[in-house]
Amino acid sequence: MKKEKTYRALSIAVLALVLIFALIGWIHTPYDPDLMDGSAKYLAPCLAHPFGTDKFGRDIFSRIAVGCGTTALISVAVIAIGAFFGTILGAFSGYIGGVFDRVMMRVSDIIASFPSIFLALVFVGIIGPGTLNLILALGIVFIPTFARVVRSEFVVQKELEYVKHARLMGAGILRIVFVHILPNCKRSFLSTLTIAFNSAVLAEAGMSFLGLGVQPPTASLGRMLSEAQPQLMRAPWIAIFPGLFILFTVLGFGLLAASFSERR
Amino acid sequence: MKYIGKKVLILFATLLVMSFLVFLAFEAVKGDAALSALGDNATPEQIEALREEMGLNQPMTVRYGKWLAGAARGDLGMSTNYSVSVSELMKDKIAVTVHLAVLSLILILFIGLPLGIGTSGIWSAGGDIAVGVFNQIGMAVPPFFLGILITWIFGLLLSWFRPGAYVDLSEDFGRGLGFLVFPALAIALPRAFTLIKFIRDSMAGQKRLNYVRTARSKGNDERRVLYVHMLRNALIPVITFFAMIVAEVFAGSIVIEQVFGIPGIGRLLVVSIANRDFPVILAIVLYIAVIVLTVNAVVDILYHILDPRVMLED
Repeated sequence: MKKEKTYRALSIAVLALVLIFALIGWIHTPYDPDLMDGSAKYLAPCLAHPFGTDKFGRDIFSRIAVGCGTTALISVAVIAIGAFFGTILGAFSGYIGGVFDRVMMRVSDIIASFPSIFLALVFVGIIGPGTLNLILALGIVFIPTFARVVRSEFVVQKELEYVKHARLMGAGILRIVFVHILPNCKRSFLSTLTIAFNSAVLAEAGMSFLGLGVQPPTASLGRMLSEAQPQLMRAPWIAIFPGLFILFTVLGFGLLAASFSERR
Repeated sequence: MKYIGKKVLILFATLLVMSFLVFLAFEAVKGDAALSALGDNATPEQIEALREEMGLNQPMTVRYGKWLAGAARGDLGMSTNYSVSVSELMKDKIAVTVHLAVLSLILILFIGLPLGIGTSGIWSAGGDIAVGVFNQIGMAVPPFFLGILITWIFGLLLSWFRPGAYVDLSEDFGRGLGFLVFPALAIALPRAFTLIKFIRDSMAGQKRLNYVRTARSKGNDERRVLYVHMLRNALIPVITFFAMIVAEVFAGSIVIEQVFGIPGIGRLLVVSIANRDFPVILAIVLYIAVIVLTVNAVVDILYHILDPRVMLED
């Protein structure tokens, strides 16, 4: 379909841009992102500094590249935790059913009724701020997201003929769950993945913006935005570029998720 | 009626379990409050005495019971950071956040409903994609970035409001509203785009149903089918959307209060987390939980009344 293709092409273009920046951040940035240069404070975007410099004379372009890398790493780690534990919990919950399933689903329904940034705030409130704690907190927050989707697939799949056959052939529960049923959940899993990335990026940026996520001096897009706020009048570019890159990342995953939902 | 009773019961049970879990978690991590209150130079006797005084020697369950009994009376304990009671600390701030949230919700409806309904007649492939992409961009703007852009454009460049300043609604309603509208807009705009998408999706779902074909075959023109027949059915799910949005608006206001320097509970929460002021965090977290879960329950009940086909299995 035309709509699906347009969404996908746009999302790939936007995400590629962010990924290129992340790669620059990981491999080599034009300037040291933490290098302070007293002679280059508050430079407006120019040829030497395409995105300008901040109040310490640090190059915004380099800092954004590093920030994109940080955001990418954190989101991947967060989603890995959420997807891994969520899939296992959802799979067994759906396959076994009964009381275990009902309790699990009641709990994840409650958790799912709260926005991820609020839950992340609660967890960080308990275990304290910091990058690792943020990853852990957001990772836990995304467990129910995956558990619910995988569970609903399992509830349907476990009644199908091929599962009954596998059971008749003497396959154990682990084999049925992981080898037979799980590969068939790929499609709904993928679309959940994109939606989860979308909110993970937003939650990470929001938490770092509040000063409760990535700690300085590590460059992160959310943190850059909050640091830029006091100098908004003098140097708006310090805020605008990191903000745009958060927007691009969220938009990229949003479009990708939309293209998946068009396919159905 | 039975349904409503059940919903209310579940609501209370959930809140009880949740408060216990959060209480438990905070107790587990916060360490010895007596020790941290007195510092490293205190003698063991002093610490023991304070511990006794604060009731820290009692078992967890007893302390939770006491906290709960206090909370029911509106006594949420003392802030470890400000040495005032938590209820005192939260009192004025709750009103501020509620004003901001309500204004945001109103803006979401005022922007989202007309645009959603207005654009729901755009079915052509190109138009559909254009509106869809535009919506995605609108939804992707982080509220705090939008807040900063609004501060820059309307606060600094146009001087329509003074960034960082705040006037309470009770002091001067007009000026207070002027200060609240901009942060509310930062919260509302991305969510308004979500509402537009929601209405359009809901309408697209109705398009394929039989009653629409019937309405058309009876000679109704396209506008009438769209805005009289379909819209009424398409708007029922918007109630569910509203429940989702209330939670998001409160979460959004936590961040936006920080951007605009609004003295609400969101700002208090962030400061308390940074200072590890557990009684305050506990109270705010549960306060927001009460709002979110209550709204969810009310919406479930409303939905049940509006569309009796919806019978939840539990």
